[in-house]
Amino acid sequence: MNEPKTLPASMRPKKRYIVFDIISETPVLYKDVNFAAWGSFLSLLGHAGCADAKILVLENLYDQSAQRGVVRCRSSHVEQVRAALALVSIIGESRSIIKVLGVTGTISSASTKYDAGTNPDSS
Amino acid sequence: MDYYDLHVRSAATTGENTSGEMAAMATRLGLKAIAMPGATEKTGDAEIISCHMIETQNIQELAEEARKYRDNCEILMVSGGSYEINRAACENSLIDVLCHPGRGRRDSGLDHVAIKAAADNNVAIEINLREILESYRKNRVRVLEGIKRNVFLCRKFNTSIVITSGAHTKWGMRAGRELAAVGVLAGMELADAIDSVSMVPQKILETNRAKLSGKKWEGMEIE
Repeated sequence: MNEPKTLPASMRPKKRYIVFDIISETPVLYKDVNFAAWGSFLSLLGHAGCADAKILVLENLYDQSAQRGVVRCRSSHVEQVRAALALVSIIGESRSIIKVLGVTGTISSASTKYDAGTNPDSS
Repeated sequence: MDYYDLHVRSAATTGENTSGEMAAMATRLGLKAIAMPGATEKTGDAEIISCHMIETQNIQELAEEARKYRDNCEILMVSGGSYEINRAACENSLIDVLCHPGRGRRDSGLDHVAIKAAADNNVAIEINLREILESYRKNRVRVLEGIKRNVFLCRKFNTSIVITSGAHTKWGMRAGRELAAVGVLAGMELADAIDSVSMVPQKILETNRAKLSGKKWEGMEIE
């Protein structure tokens, strides 16, 4: 009884997984992507907006070799998160473009449709 | 769906990269065509639309230049900023797109009179991503405020909106769907935002190409 019970599925907010590719001058690390993306989310949506959007840049699905990653957010905030990703211009020290490949409803479809996080080397 | 970016700059004008590099990046981002003022180089990548950007602070010169270039290019754009130029561009039916009407201003650069005139003369108002991308903190708030105001007025008067990257380097370009997301952020409906990077530019282009090929009115051809 130390932890709260998991909410029933019908009461949980609907989530979406945004699969994106990074086009950059040099390959970038997950921590740099996370830092740049959160900088953009916070500057565009603010703290309250980010809390509403329930954003998470998934570390285990970041594919270092393919420069591909996944952002999770609420289904109602997909366009806002997309716009925030469009406003990322520098990751680490290299100029970059984040191109969204697609939006899925589950992690497994993100993996099967877009090969997100299927690389065994990804950390 | 075909996406268009009607305002990017190559090294031929004030940009950093060559038109070939810009076209290659456009292909990578899934854009069908891009408009680059001054670009003449043809590549095998994304289509380059022939366009002209009128950059003047004089209303008389704007009208003269519009008449001069109308029959030589597919897209005729005006670099806005001052209210007089913005208003004159909106009232000129030869112009296709008014670019960055709020550049260098504290307000949006347009009022209800100008936007109504733009609707009557089929002049599209541009939302420029570069203005948002290259501004920070309080300035970005001001820029977004102006864009939101223009979007509100455009929706009220049914004026066309085009969303462009306004990129000066290939790293400033974005995919069509991302540009549409910025439109949603500025207060547009999602369907309208997608149209403003696909259907609206396509319609402008098709109309002008038909006119340039001698077909001045629908159903009639001039030999």
